[in-house]
Amino acid sequence: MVVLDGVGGVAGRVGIGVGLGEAALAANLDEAFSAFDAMAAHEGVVHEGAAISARAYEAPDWTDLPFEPARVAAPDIFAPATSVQVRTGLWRTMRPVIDYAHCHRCVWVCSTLCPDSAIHVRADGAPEIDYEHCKGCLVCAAVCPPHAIQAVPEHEAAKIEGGGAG
Amino acid sequence: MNRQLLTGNAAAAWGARLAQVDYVPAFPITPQTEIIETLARWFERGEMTGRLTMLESEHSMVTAAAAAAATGVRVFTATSSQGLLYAMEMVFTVPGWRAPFVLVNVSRGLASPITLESDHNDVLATRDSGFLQVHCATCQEVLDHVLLAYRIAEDSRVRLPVIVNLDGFTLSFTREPVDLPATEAVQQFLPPFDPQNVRFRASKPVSQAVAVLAGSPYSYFRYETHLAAQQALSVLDEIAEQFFQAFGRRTGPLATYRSEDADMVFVMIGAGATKACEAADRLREAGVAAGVVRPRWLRPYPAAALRAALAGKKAVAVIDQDLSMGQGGVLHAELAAALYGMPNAPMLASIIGGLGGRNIPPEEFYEIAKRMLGFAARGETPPPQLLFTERELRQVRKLQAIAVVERKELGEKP
Repeated sequence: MVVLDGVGGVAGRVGIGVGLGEAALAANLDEAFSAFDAMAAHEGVVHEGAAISARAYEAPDWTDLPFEPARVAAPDIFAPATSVQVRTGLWRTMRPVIDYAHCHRCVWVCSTLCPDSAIHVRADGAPEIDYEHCKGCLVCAAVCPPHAIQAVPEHEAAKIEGGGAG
Repeated sequence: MNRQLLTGNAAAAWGARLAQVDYVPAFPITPQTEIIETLARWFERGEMTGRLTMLESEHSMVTAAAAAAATGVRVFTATSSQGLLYAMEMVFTVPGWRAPFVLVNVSRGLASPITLESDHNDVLATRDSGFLQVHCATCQEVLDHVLLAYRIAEDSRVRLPVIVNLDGFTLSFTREPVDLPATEAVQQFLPPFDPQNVRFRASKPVSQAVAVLAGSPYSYFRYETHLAAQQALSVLDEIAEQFFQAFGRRTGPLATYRSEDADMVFVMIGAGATKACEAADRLREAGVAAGVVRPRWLRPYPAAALRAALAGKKAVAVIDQDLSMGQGGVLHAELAAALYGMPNAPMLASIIGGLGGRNIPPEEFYEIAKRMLGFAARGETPPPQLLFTERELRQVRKLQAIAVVERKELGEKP
């Protein structure tokens, strides 16, 4: 049985291990490992399927597509802000890092020119990079007037933080 | 012979490596990126000499490729789908420069809606550009056709750029055993490019591809490009024979599979045709004489070979993994034009299938064969058909139901 320590069935949404506690995490890992081990008996039994005979086969249930007006037949999503859920920050190889000691708070420069709208302005007037969505194009680093945005290779940034956005 | 398990993308990269290309202008795009990553690694390690340059777009990339080719060096480049379309202005411009190079396209369906998996609308959009185009069904064919493409592109009787096409995912990311020919054997088959008057040198200015402001010279240059593309058919036969002598593999404008004595023939291009071959085997076990005709080269279009291969068949089903909106299957229309007026022409049916990587299972091939032979026996031609099932429509209805809920949440009437 998988223990979720009071967060119901939403562990996947809040992130692995967040708020679960060590004991629950260990119990979940045990469950995962035992499920993995249970597959051992089936090791190596994946074969190519037998050819499907052309003598006796299930005929495809083809259908003629009806015409539908563009209001129905256009590929649209009507819910707002769905692209926020796509973590394009995973694509990044170089990470822009703001040196706040040198930042002039001319936030209209970096936040306007960011092609992914990934630079927000904090309540204190300082820019902040949303690493979940920053793709690392470094336009901000190029345009920053006081040269206060550095470019750090993602693998080095990840080492410093022990994880990183990726 | 060095046999390796290679993806279609790696086979394309090996083709460029064995051709000893001088210059690779590049730009990444799924599912092609593995090709330029592989080449970049080889350049970096010094296993390839020459230069790989990352351009800022495919439009610049194709411009750089043709401009470099116009200096008389051997050029390779690769793209896919939206990237090929982004380059389209130059794709139509550079064949008229008559500077040969090879572009590998890894086919992927076009937006909208945007997708990643394969169909052929991207490469078919270049159909009228003056690029020659060849379609591969196996990883071996990819490697072989990069080498063949250079021979044909650089031949003084042709001198046009060539697109070597492979299907995204189904071929680009599938590993198959590939015979890697020895470098010396490739050098013998494909000697260094003799650029003749295709050259740009310091202090020797030349204006290539100048403007003409009248219909007559324009017609001359355009039709000469067409004649060169047509001439490529006979050049291709000659080079295919040399390729066979050098490497022992048969190639040519058409690949046929059990079609000689077939009553019913599937016509497909690319990797999807291998499924048709498997289906033909099963159909033969069930007593249906089925076969497959797969055009490799679409430009030049092997009309005479297709007429010869399809004459006297009862039924031919063209399965187009492409769609010309408001018309239908591109390959069907071209084949209909080729067969028109032929006294023993077969019944010719149009099937649209495999769009955006949609699988075509064996049962659909069986059912197509059965129905087409039925139509042919009654002397009828069926209307064009999309391979689309009730189950797939239910899946779409589910997505549409979600859209309706979204609209309601926004306060709109559904």
